[in-house]
Amino acid sequence: MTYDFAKRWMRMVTLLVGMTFVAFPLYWMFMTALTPRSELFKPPYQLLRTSYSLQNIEELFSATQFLTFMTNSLIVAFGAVVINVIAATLAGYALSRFNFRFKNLFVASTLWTYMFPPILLVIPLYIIFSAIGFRNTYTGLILAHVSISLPLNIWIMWQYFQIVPVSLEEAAWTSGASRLRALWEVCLPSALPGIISTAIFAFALSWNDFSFAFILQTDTSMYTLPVGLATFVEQSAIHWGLIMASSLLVSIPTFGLVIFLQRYLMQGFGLGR
Amino acid sequence: MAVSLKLENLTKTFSQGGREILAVDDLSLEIGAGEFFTFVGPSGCGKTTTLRMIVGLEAASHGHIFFDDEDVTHVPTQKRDIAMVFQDIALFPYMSVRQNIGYALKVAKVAQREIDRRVEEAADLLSISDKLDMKPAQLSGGQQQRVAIGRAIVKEPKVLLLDEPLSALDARLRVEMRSEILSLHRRIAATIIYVTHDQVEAMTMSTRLAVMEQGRAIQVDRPRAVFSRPATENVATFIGTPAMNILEARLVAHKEKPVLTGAGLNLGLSREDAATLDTLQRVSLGIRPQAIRLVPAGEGLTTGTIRLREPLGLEDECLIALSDDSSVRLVGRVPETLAEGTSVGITVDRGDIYVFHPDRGKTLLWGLQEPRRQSKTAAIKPASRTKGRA
Amino acid sequence: MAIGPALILLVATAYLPIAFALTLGFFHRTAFDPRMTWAGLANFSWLLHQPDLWAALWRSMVFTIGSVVFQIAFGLFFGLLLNKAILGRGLMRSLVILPYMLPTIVIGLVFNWILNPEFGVVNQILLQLSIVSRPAPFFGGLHTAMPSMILVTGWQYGSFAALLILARLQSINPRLYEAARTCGAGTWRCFWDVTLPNLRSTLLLIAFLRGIWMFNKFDLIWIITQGGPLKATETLPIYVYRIAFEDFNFGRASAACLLMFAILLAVSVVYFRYFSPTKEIEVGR
Repeated sequence: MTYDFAKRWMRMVTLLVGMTFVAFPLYWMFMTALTPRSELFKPPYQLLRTSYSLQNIEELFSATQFLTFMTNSLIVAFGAVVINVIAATLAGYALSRFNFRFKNLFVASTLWTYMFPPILLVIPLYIIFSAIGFRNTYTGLILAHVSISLPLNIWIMWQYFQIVPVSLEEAAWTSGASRLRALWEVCLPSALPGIISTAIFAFALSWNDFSFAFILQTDTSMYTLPVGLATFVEQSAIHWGLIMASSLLVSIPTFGLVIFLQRYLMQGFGLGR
Repeated sequence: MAVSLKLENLTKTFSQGGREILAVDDLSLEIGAGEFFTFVGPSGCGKTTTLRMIVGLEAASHGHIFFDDEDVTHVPTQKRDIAMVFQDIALFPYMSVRQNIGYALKVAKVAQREIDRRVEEAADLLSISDKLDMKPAQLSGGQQQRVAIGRAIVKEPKVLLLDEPLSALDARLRVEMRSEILSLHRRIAATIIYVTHDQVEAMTMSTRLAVMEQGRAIQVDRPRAVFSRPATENVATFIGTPAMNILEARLVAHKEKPVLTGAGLNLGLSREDAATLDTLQRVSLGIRPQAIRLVPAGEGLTTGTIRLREPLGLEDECLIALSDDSSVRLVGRVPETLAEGTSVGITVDRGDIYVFHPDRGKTLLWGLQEPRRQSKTAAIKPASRTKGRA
Repeated sequence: MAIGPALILLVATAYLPIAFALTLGFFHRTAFDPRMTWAGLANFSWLLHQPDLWAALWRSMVFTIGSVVFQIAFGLFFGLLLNKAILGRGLMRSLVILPYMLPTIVIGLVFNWILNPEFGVVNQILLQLSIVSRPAPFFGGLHTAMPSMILVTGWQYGSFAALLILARLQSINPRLYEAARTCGAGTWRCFWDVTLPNLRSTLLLIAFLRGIWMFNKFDLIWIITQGGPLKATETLPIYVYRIAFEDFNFGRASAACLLMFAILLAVSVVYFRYFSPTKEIEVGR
């Protein structure tokens, strides 16, 4: 065995150990989700299962409010994505093409809002939303989610628009297209990766959010998934199999996003490919 | 469908970091319908800004632009019925060549069948018919530029503007495209406005050209006129390759006769020429490399040594060092026997000598006249010229 | 103008509430009494006299610094290992981001489950391997709750660090390593002299971003321990929550938030002045 070979093997082994650390909780969640109730209350558990059961998942939909929670989460996330994409695209475009007086201030302020603790934002939102009746509504929660995702999305779209040369739009104008049309037909296709990143980011932030949903939605029927799931633990009727099954289902959208859109995420982190 | 243009007091100022930059300074000129008009000059002279104002991508700070008596100064780009070819080509990356070319027609809501017909016609004209369904990224630079031209001409615009369209291409392609653009001009009979920093392009393609410098048009004329009667020293040295030779000369009185001396030359002046030069004591002389001829040392206007010899094919370019440390270049057929280091004589027709004001560069004389009387002690004139003069 | 919608949204959803929050600390305002009466610094002085506040601040510090260190260690571990081409690297890279993309609720629930003293599989393994004789309490133990919490956030956010570090590592010119090696540098020296200096700005950025994020972290801690047991994991955000939504005193809660914000601001200023990390967050191309 050469030194190099040994080193590579060492590296592989260490990596595998690390990977186990990373993957194990996910693996266990998956396993537990497929463990029928009867087996759950009899520890110790097998580490490698041979039999699987979808019982938990069925029970989740029939016996709990999971479906309600899921619907709420989807509505809110969808709203957040739509608003984010439109607002961030327009803002990013404006930032890249125009120079206006408060530009630097605006850019700096988006950075600061991103750094602001959500907990600090929640209290005034709670008070204001209570006053205007936005508490416990879809609109209120969507707006709250937008407030935390929009700043970074504006940055992302700004970056992407900076790559699109102005001469493309000018070529469209000299061909008779209005500014808006040029933006739609010429600019946007080139900035599409940015739009997708924005949508992913807005979706993930909304889907995963706990703090805002927890504090702003007080009616059980308006709970989103994270809040709903948190209540499962306290309910004795709901066993860990159900909880893990629900966790699994809640994770699927983000899993899917990672797998299918890994390219865009990697680009966003500067790894390129 | 060609259109004439008039620029009236066109001015553009930019404010950058608190400072005001005057990019175009009170520019007024007229361009005739169907002309191939070029704005030429070094970087920063304001030619691109002028073009962009004509297109509408920049708003004029002052002044007016007229297309055929219609004031379009405040008309948005989309409605000016012009077409532009950009320096960086700017083809829409996600559309096919066909869609790129037909874009303007699509925006104008022309019927699809008509669009297809005209796109194919344009593609045929530019020899890119087989590329119609490809994407821009699959084409070479020259082909992309042709697509860009196709996109511009397909809507039969009133004015076709080109902003340094050949600067992104390699040298050989540039020469090819130059003649293509010229033949295009003949075929489509549009008014073409062209911007370039390459004076060769300007000279070979234009009907008329405007030499620009610091936001002003220094000279507006036909290429030949600009070449042979430049308005200033800058224009004279900018136009023509290799650049015109500039020598310093002093005006002295030699036995009460005005004489220009410098670089070993002694040139007597006629009474009119001397009067034009008036009280100036120094001038700049300009001589085109093509106007210089070599004669045996001791003959001609002055003597020099061949410093450098660069073969260009049939002709050679030579750098000749003169007596006062200045040097001139000449282009012409030079006998092979004359090697570097040889002493030679230089001669120039007096009519090919330009005199410029030493500070302001304005051309004072286009060619020197013969002095009235031949003076024995004054000029050393080329032998042939002394014939027939008393 | 194009920027209109974004501007309005941000102003309405972020700037106004923040401004409101900043001023609220100076007023008396509870859920029971919607009038706002000026309190001056009364809220602040009340806060500063609460031992709970100082305890929470201390715990916040511990949590923040512990988490950041662990996350950076995690990030370095995976970043360095994944830097060299290995079989299945692409797959492992995707696997490494997953924790970052999971909802916090899921992470909270999953770790609650696997570290459960009674039913948790980790305890099961530890007992079977005789590493412990009794089940470890993890989140239930006074002294183990905080470390367990740090472990969980490390797991969740370590991948973020790993990705940034990996990206930076891959942009280091391999020539530098070759040059170092020809000068006789071994693995450790190479790391110290070539890798680390290049990583410096990335690590500082990660420390900064994650530090702020961990300092403000509310959801995970609330989901798992609600600040317990016996306030062992009550950090500032939890403390603020209690004041706002259990005591319903918004004025005091906002004052506490202001303190938090002031601390973060001070840290930011120090960070930007002494470490100048603007290279990493530069936008202009």
